[in-house]
Amino acid sequence: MNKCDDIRTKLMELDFSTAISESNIEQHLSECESCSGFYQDLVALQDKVEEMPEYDVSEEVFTQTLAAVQASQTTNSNIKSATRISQQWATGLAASFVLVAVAGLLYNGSLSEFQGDFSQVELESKQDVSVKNKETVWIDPQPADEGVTVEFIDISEVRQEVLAQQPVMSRSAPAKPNPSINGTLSQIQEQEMDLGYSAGSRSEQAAPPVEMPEILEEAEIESSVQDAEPVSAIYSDEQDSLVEVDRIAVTGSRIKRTDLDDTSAIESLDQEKKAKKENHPVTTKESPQMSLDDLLKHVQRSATESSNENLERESYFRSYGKKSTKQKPKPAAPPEDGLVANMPARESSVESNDTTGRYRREANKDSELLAERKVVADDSTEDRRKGQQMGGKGRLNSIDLNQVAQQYLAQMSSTENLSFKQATGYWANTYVPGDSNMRWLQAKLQQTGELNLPEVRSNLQPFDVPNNSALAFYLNSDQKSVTEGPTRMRLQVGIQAGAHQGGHRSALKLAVVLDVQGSSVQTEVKSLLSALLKNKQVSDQITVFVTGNAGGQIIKADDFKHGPIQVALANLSQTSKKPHVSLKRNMSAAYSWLQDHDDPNAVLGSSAVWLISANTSSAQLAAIEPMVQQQATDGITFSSLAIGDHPERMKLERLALMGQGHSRVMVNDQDAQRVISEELLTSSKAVARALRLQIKLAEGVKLIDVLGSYSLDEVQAQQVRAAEQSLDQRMAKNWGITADRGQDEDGIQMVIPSYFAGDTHVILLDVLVSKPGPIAEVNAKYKDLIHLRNARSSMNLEIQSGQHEPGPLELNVMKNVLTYRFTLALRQAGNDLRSGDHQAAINQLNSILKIYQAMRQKFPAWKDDSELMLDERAIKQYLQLLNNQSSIDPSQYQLIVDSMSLMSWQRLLSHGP
Amino acid sequence: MQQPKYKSASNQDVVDLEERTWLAAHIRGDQHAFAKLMQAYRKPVYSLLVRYGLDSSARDDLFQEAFLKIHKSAHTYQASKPLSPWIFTIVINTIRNAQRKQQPLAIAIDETEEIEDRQPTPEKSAQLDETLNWLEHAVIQLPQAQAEAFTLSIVKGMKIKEVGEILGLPINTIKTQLRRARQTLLAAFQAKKGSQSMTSEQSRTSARNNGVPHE
Repeated sequence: MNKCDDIRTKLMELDFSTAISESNIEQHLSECESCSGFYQDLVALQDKVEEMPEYDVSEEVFTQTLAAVQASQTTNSNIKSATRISQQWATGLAASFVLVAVAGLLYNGSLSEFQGDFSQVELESKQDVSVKNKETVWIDPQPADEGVTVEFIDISEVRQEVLAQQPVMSRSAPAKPNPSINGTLSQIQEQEMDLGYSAGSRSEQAAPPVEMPEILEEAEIESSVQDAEPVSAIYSDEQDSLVEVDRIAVTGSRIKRTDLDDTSAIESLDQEKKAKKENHPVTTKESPQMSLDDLLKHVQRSATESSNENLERESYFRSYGKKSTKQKPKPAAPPEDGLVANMPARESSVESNDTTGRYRREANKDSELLAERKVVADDSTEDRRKGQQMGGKGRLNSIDLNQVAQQYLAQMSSTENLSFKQATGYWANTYVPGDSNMRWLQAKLQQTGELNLPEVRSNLQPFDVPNNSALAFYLNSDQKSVTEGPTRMRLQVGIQAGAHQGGHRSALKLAVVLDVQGSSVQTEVKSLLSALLKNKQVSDQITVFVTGNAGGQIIKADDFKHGPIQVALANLSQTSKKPHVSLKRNMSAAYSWLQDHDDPNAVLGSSAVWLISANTSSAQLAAIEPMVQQQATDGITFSSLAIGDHPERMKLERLALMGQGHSRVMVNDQDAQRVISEELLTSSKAVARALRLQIKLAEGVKLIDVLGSYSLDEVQAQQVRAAEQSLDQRMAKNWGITADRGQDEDGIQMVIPSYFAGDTHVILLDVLVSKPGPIAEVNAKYKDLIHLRNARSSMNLEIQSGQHEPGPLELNVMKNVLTYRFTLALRQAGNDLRSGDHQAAINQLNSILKIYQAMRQKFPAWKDDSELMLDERAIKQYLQLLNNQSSIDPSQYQLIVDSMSLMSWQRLLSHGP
Repeated sequence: MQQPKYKSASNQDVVDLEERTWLAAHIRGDQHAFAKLMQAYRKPVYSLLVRYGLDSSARDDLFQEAFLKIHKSAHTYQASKPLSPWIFTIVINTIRNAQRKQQPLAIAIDETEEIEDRQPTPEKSAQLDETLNWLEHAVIQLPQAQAEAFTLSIVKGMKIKEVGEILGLPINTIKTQLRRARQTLLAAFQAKKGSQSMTSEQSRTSARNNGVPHE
């Protein structure tokens, strides 16, 4: 056999889908034209094989077969009866068992004890019922201890015991000797406010803790049983199951103490409700035909859209007022927003003069807010001075602002012409850290210093970090109580990750695929590989594949050193006779290499493919999608890195989501170290994986929408299930966390693949409630990477009847909803600006500015809210920029639009690596 | 009957862990579970039957028989293992049983189709080239062992090890069968490529001399 025959035999046995890895074959192919042609024929044949059509059976045969199977399933007991005992046998066995047991007990004379146990059972079950809200941490047994009983620890019970023993938890003696639980709780709350938070921190009271009277303890323990009227109760991992005030005090919530002060000063909701009755017919009868579902899908998509896209958007909130059509308003036209359409155009002078309010915050986040607060206080005078310039007609008197606030609240609580959605199935995950498009915008904006663009920042949430678990969950609503009849409210599910990271990263097996042919990014590639080399650990294995004519595996794992890297990069620019290697073939080769080197005991994410792309086409990226998803379910993650202003950033982002990895953007060669460091540390920053949220609405509660999300179709849901089960099994294999996934659940389901240390996220639901009582239940389960266990958490929300003023937690939800509106308004203004409708953008900003001002006047707790003030400041900055258009280079409008997009995206989300 | 694409279907290549739960759900009485399974496997199974060279009525019968067997054997499936090899083992056994019982069933190609294809017109030949029928016929005309190994290897991205398990053969045997199948198909491909440069009359003659399967 000559050499050519030998080579051809080897080629015949090669996996067609991968690139040639043997150097002697590769060399021979580059020298021998005949064998090269043979190889090309083989590849072409493989392509033809892949294109072979698939045949389908006729519908008739399919239906007949299915009917035959189903008939067999129902009539033939072949499947079920084989595994079941007949009923007669079961009854007989049970009767025998009871007889034997009773006989034994009689014989031993212990029947009375046995009966005594039953009485205990009844009492315990009563107590269980009384605990309406449980936090359960499910701890897996160790794999070796299969015989050990699985422990279910009801933390609320434990807490009750602990609370009963902790004098520090007692606030004061009750005013009445035998109070009802509601009375007791309200007294505690009032006294807590009076003593603790209005004047200073709890430690400043200097009053020794008073022993909790026994009567109070009993009252608290039996509260849920005896209480005829349900108490508003909100529970979560880090919350105590008794009273809200305790939760705030004990867990060090970031809710401002001034908020607690201000609750007494908050105006009654009665006025809003009256106003609603007066105003809503006007705004809702013309309620649009526009589907909110369509709109929010659009919004969700647009959160990551390229800034170059020119899409028409309609505001979620504006839709309440009237159908929003894309019209270019004339410069002198009044604002489109129904809220402020009738407002007289006056100048706003409503600003807080109280810049000395004290902020007592705990934890490091509070100091951030404090710093912001100071900035705002300093700027407020300047803002007032500039107020006249903002929009030209932004100054309103307090009466007008009150009217705007009433109209806004009336809109928010409107119950007419609503359409409802099924509160079931899978919904899109709204926690998407690492948005590459936004990173790109951020990098672009950082490079420009010519415009006075508002500072972009995240919205901080008042959630405490968990102490004994990776994640803490919070369930709140924007109303403290409701009356009989339909009431619209917003629910908020908050997720807070602990600050601890998962740990150091494990050894990495990384296949880097470079697709940079035809672009001039050699410097960037060189920087990237140098940064990778610098961050490489001894146990890491890194190989590099390149697409194009000199393609294939150019750097093997053993050769990933400075010298070979330089040589390989130098060869890239030279012409070669070697056959062209496509991206798909390279990806296959990369995955094959990883599979060959995969360690089944390695942690998830330790085998990864990175695609470094400069100009990969959309079609090429689409071609590798199935491969990426399949390999991700097998445990090999995929991340993408776009160099510069990549035309297909969205596709890369999509691929990274499919591959359970991250999508990043490298702005220039100096950005390489940051990108590599972040990517390498990603695996160690995750604190929870496969987080599954189940949100079940109570009977009579209807879902209007999940803000910012949308219901997934069957194909998407299937992909989510596959990804979740893949994670589940991989983590069971790697870390011994028992696999517990595979079944769908009732209610809204949302799966978050990874949750990162220190991150905060909120999910807002718009619902219609018919009566007081249970509203929603949220169950969360996830793989806790801190404690390496399955963790579960449950929260219930009940709303009491009556009319109560919103407390700090309710105000927080309202603030998030208002911020959501702010983000939509910014996005809409950006789109208007992009389409050249300058005046519409100004109107949008004016509208939201007036609402902000009105709401801040309406709720004293918001008067000095630093985040809302910063939002206002940002709006004014944008208005100033737009009003001074003569001084702005038209090309800089894009920067303003980008800034708006970035800010609207970043206000509600917090970001991981 | 022909679908435009084979490999590029959206979820065709995705290893769907969910499918492992279908049979358990079916046993529990979930009527939708088996429908999902059939929907997912109708094309792969039927394509396999087609590439076995069975006539249409036999294909339909075997399709039905195979799924009834899957239904009856559902309790023997272990969810810890992939579903597709288990299903294709049943399908292959069903085909083999049928071939043993009814020898006339194992007709290589439907007779009428074969007669038509023996003397294709230039137009027909061009059409065949476009629709990849030449490859289908080349696969059908492979020796049965090679055809089985090759066909299974292209169904649902099956690995060599899984093909070996389905056919009950060692991996090396499967590799040999696949290599031989590729050799035959490559010869057919090269012959077809050569014939494309000739005129239609020359193409027929040349292809016949080189043993193109459908000529």
